[in-house]
Amino acid sequence: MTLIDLLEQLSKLRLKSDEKALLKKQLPEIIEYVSRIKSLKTEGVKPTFHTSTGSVSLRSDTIKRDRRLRLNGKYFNISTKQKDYFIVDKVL
Amino acid sequence: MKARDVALLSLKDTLEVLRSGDVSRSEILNSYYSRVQKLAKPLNVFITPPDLAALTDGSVSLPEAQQSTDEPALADSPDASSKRPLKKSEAQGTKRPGEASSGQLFGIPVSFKDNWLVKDTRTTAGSRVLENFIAPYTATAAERLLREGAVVWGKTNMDAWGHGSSGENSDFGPTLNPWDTRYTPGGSSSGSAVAVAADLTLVATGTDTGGSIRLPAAYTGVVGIKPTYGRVSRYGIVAMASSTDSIGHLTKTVWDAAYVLSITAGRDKYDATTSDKPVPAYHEGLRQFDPSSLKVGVISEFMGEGIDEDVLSATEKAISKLKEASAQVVEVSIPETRFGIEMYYILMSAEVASNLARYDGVRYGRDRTYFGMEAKRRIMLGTYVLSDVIPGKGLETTYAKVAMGRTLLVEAFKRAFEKVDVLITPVAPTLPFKLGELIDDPLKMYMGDLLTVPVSIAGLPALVVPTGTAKNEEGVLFPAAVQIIGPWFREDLLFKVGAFLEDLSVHQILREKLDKEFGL
Repeated sequence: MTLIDLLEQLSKLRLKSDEKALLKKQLPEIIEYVSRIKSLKTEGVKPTFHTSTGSVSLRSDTIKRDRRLRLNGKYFNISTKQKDYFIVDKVL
Repeated sequence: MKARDVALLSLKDTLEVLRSGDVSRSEILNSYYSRVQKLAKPLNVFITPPDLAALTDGSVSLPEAQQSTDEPALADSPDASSKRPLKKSEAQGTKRPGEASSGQLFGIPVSFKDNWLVKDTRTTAGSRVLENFIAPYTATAAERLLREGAVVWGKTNMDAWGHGSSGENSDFGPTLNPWDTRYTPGGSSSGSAVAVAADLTLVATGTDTGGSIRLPAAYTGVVGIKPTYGRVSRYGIVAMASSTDSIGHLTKTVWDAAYVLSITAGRDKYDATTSDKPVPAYHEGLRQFDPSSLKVGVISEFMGEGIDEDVLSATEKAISKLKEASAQVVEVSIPETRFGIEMYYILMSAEVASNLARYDGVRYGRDRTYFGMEAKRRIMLGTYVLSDVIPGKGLETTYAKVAMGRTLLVEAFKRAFEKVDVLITPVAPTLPFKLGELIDDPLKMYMGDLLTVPVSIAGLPALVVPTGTAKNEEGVLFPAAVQIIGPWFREDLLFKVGAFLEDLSVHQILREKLDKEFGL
């Protein structure tokens, strides 16, 4: 399996043949460029995953009825449903 | 005042003529609507254009300001008003956008970038995946604007999912630059920038993950504010890269940008990363600012190789203006910014791959085959960097390596701000480029973000203001702009420096050009 095939599978994408051909050319170039970061010296440096400061803004863990999505309501933007169920792609 | 001139006023001036009674709210909307009818389609500004008939039930007249009887009068402080509880009709969602009967933005047209959720409106994020998605609730920042009486003035075009620096990645076609329609207006908030530049709206909202407010602001000659990460709630905004997504807006003047931020900023219980720092009235006292006590830093890495001569010279002019006003200008070196593009495209793509995983064709609309090429490229890159383990480092991924690099960058900016009050830089390495010029070379396109992404990675605030004009090598006139970067949560200082530097004549040049071309 090529790198592009593996990434396509992991990404749950279905690429057309012309898209696959384009990415086979472009993705290695981009990866090579961004991989320059590996030369940055980071020994002993703690990671920063976000830059938020101050206290964390929390709310109580309760259901807001007016914010719930309703299967039969106009806000449940699904295209494939059957009676009170929605249909998903086969997983296994 | 002639009806056609109403749409040429800034927000500040519009609020003044409304207060004095010289102009009514319906006259304002009519004036803007007349321009929308002539310019919006040729420039491809909106995905969902403003619908004046729907707002006014076809009568083209809006209720004038009235004192509400079921709530206290709005306080002068925007911060206080943002904490006002929702009225029952609003909380139940029975009040449609634009129906508030008072407020600091009562009757003011605000166009929303199409990744802002506004209940009951279509929200596509510029992608065919969400072409028919109807927002089930309203984003917190939008809700704060609507509570103050803002009118929903259309949903603007954008690069799909915010992926792009030119507006060309929109699944609804590119927005064109009104200065010369052969050129891009910058992205991803392309429609919002052009809506403000061409006077199709008074305020347009945006999002800025790596430069998406700042680049189009610079390319079209309007003001763009990218606030500190966590200053404005991300709740209800279609996520791109959650650790750098910043919620801001584009306006005609610095005062306007400051006024609007005073309304949208502040803690939100629906976004745990929002800050509880008090929100000042940013717009007060802007013109009284004296730059003589200001210490300005110029980042040496941003003023050399890779930056076009015309861009450098425009930036130097702005710096000279500060020097003439006795501001102290010093050179600052931040070598860590040299890795900005690498860090950003690893962080961003990893977070994009994660955020876009939710679009599975079940809950939001169409399936993943509807993703455009740029989204697919970023998802694939993100999936790669999240699984790319560095040899000899256990399970340390490239993403984790960048998180350490981010610490170094944040520390470097901290050290810089110990020496100076603000940093002044160009916004983009070049003036606007032509449509199609870079679309087949993604890596070269990404390089256009060179001067904006370090700010995003560090979560700093930055303001872009037009400072004049410059001609490209073909002799085409474009706006010139600078980026003012400040310490975390010092938007107040950015607005002061920005108000000193902004050149309001830039917008006037575009107006005269559009008048001639479109017979306005």
